[in-house]
Order: sequence, then C-alpha cells, then structure tokens
Amino acid sequence: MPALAVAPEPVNTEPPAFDALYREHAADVFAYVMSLLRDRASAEDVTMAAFERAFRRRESFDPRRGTERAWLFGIARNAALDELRRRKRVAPLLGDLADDAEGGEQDDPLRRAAVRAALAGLDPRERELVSLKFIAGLSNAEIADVIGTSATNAGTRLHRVVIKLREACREA
Amino acid sequence: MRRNTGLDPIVEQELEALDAVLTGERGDPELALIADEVRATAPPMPPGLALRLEAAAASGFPKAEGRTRLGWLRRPPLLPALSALAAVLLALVVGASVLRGGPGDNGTVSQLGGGTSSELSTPGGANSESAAGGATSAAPTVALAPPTAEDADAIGRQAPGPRRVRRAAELILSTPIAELQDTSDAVARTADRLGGRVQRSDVSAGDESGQATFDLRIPTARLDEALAALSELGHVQSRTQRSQDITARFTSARSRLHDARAERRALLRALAEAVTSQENASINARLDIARARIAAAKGDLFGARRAAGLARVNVTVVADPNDDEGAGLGDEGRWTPGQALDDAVDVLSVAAGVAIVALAAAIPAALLALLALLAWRVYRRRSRELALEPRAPAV
Repeated sequence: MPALAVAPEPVNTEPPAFDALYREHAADVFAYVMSLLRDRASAEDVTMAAFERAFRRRESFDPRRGTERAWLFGIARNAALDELRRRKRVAPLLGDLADDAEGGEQDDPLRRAAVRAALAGLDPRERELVSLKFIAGLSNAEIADVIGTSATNAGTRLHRVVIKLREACREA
Repeated sequence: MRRNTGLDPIVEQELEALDAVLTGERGDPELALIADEVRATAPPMPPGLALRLEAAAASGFPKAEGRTRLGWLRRPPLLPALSALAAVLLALVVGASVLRGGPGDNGTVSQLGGGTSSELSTPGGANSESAAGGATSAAPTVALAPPTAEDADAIGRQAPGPRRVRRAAELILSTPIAELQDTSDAVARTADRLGGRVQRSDVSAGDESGQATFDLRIPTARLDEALAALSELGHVQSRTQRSQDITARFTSARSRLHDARAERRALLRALAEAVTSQENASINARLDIARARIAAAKGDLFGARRAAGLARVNVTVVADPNDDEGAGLGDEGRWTPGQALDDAVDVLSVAAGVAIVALAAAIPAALLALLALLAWRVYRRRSRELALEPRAPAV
C-alpha cells in the first residue's frame, strides 16, 4: 500500500483578495514610499508597516469610498508621512534614485538627463504625484483619494508637474 | 472622448495624452520620454523586502493580529457571549434591587417579634416593655402595685395556685398609603387566625393620609406569635407590652365565691332546721344576700379568668405617603406576582430615569469627545501634510 503524501497545510487562511492586492502593488507601494522618504531602509520598514496596517484594517475597506488601490496607497502615504513626522524632517530633494536608474533608450541622453534633473528638482508633493501617476499608474480620481483632494484639483496639480517636466525636456 | 471633469479643456487634453502614454500608446513622444525616464528612476523592490513581505503574507501578518484594537469584538463567538453576560448582569442588578426594596425589612421585624416576650417576675405587679423604632429596651420598666389587704387575706386563706397574668400590648405600624386597606385586612385576619377577635376597629383612608386602629383580643398564650405576625405587616414604629399579675384578684374572687357558697350551704341547713316563720324569713333573706355574693364572686372570677386568658392588643396602622419600602409585601407579608410586576415596573421606571440622566450627561460628553476626535484628526492630517513641506534652507 503506497504511503499517502501529506500536503503541507497552507498557513495563510485569508481569502485571496488581499494576497492578490499585495502581490500586484507591493513594488509600486515601495517605489511610492521611497519617493516620499528617499531612504531605502525606512522605505522598506514603512512598506512593511503599510501592508500590516492594510491587513489589519482590511475589513474596514469600503468599495463605495474608492478603489482598493487608492485605499492601499492612502495607508502607505499615512505611514510614510508618520515616518517623516517622526524624523522631524523632510526628505532630501536629491536621493539615490538616479544611481539606481537603469535608463531607458539611449537615443536622447541629453533630454533624459534634463528630465532626471527636473524630477530631482520637484518638491515632495510634486514628486508624490509623479510617483502615483507614472509608477503606480493610479487614475486621477484614485490620486485624489490618496492625497485627500478633489479629482479636479489632483488633475490640475498633475498637469502643472507635467508642464514642468516638459519644459525641462524642451530646454535641454 | 471628453469627460466632464470640470477641468480646463487643455488640461484635460494633456491628462488624456498622459493616460494614453502610460497605457502603452506612444502618441506624444515627449510625454513618452518623460514617462520612460520616470519609470527608469523608480527604485526596484529590494529582494529582502520581497522575501519579508512574502513570509508575512504567507503567515497572515501574525504580528498585526495582536495589535488589533477592536477586532476581538468582531469574533463571532465573543459578541454573543458578551451580550449574554451583559443580560445576566442586568438581570442580577434588577433582581437585587427588587429584593432589596421588597421584603428586606421583614427580617428586622421578625427579629423584633421574637425577642419581646415578657415574663413577669413579681406577683401582684405590672410589667411593661416597649420597643420603638426597631430597638428593644433591655431592662423592662416595672411598676408594681403593692398587694391590698384583701388580696393578702385571700392569698393567705387559699392555697397558692397558678399565677394569673393579664397582658396587653400596643403596636404602631406604618405602611404605604396604597397598602393601608390591605394591611388593615391582614390585621383582622391575623387576629382571626390566632383564635382572637377584633373588639373594635376604625379605618379612615384619604388620598394622602389614613389611619386604622384596632382593639384586638388575642389568646394570651399566642400573644407573642400574634405580635410577631402583626409586626410583619408594616414598618414597626413602636411596640409596647404591659403585663399585670391578677393572681390576687383571681384568688380573692374564688375565695369570696367559696365563702358565699359555704354560707349558702350553712343557711340551707339552717333553713331546714328552722321551725318558726320568722326564722324562715330571716334565713331566706340571708340566703338572698349569699346568692348575690355568689353571683358577684362568680362574675369577678369570670372577669379575672377572661383577663388572664385574652390579651388586649391595640394596633394602629398609620399610612405614610413617603413610605414605599413595604410596597413589595402583600397579605401577611407574602410577595404576590402582581406586586412583583409592580416592582418590575418601578425598577424599570427608575432604570429609565437613570438612563435619561446618564444620557443627558453622556450626550454633551459624547459631543465633546466627537469634537476632540475631529480636531485630533484634522491636526494629524495637517501635521502629516506639513511633513511634505520642504524644509526652510539653513541660514
């Protein structure tokens, strides 16, 4: 009689919804938190804490008040801002992002360098918008939910940032 | 397709172009370059963090469970258990308040009733004992009347028999005005149950005051039992007992009866031996006197026996409009279902009153707490937003 194979019991008994949310957005959340904190170690801790908070409060999520993405990034934002308050300082404008950049197509290095310089020169609020829009891919309404403003205001502010980046690109 | 977002059309067009680039349509080369460059600067997730997150997700973020503040309330078995516990506690409180407001005073009354029986220590005297306001006097007040010469003569001529004691008591009870009639009925029933009778009664009840007085005759042997039972019918305001030794009176009457009968027998013998009419008339006249003496002695003896056998108990029931402590008692101290219902209504009324008062105090407190919470949230949000403000350059 063949021995029965004992399958390991899954430890995580939560429904797959949170698991999928985490897997889909973990990298984006980290990048967003990193754009706020500009400190890799702190960003890792805050990302971890954000997912823990989201897991704890997963039952409080209300789809009528926004998407899961906006809810998750809102939690990450609060965690990051709490960390900033704790450190009593604002993240430095220039961090180590440029060093990590892999670079895109090298057809226009001058303009690309100008864009990077413009990105580095953004203030934290603008940098936050860029991260939420370009990296996390949130819609304007979702961004508005995350930063606690109206979609119109979020769109207007985002447009200003894009104009800045365009100008930097054109000046190069 | 234009969306009605309230944005300037130029702004909306720019944002739509950006969305197109971010979704992979490379319409605007400049925007595409910017998007590529921004994405290129995005830091990749460190492998260590990915591993930590994987482990935490696989184990369900175990550290987070212990810090859940109110999550334990949402556990299915706990909420019903807490509800049941609250219901049990509420029932205990209500039950305790009902029992405390009901027959609690009866224990005191019963205790009084059992400890006030008086014993006569001096023949031919009177003994009184009183208890007022729930306290029993330790040393009975004794007022003894010296035996009369007639009594001494009677005692000396008769063999000493059992002592004859006349006892009396006075009881003043207070009861809620609503209970006055029931208490009055219970007094009469108590007298009847113990073999006594109501000699006289007077009940007057109004809307806010009332009083009932009873003149009872209770078999002396059951006087203590009667006082104990009567004391349970209301709040005892005062209780007085008196006792008087009437052995001399009893003995005197019996002696006079004995003498009168002896005289009558002698007169009857003399009448049998009388020969003249004058003698007959004289003896008959003396016989009439002897018979009168016998009747009088019999009357005295009957009166003494009755005085010793039946105790006089005066009961006064005063309706106290402010006294509702005995409202939980019914006939003869029993707690009837109807009165239990009344008690329950009273308790619920009091509880509702307390709840209203508590609510009146809680609503402003809750509003203040809500304002404080809102203020704290506004402060936290503003301080978070301030964290994004660039630092002022150091001078």
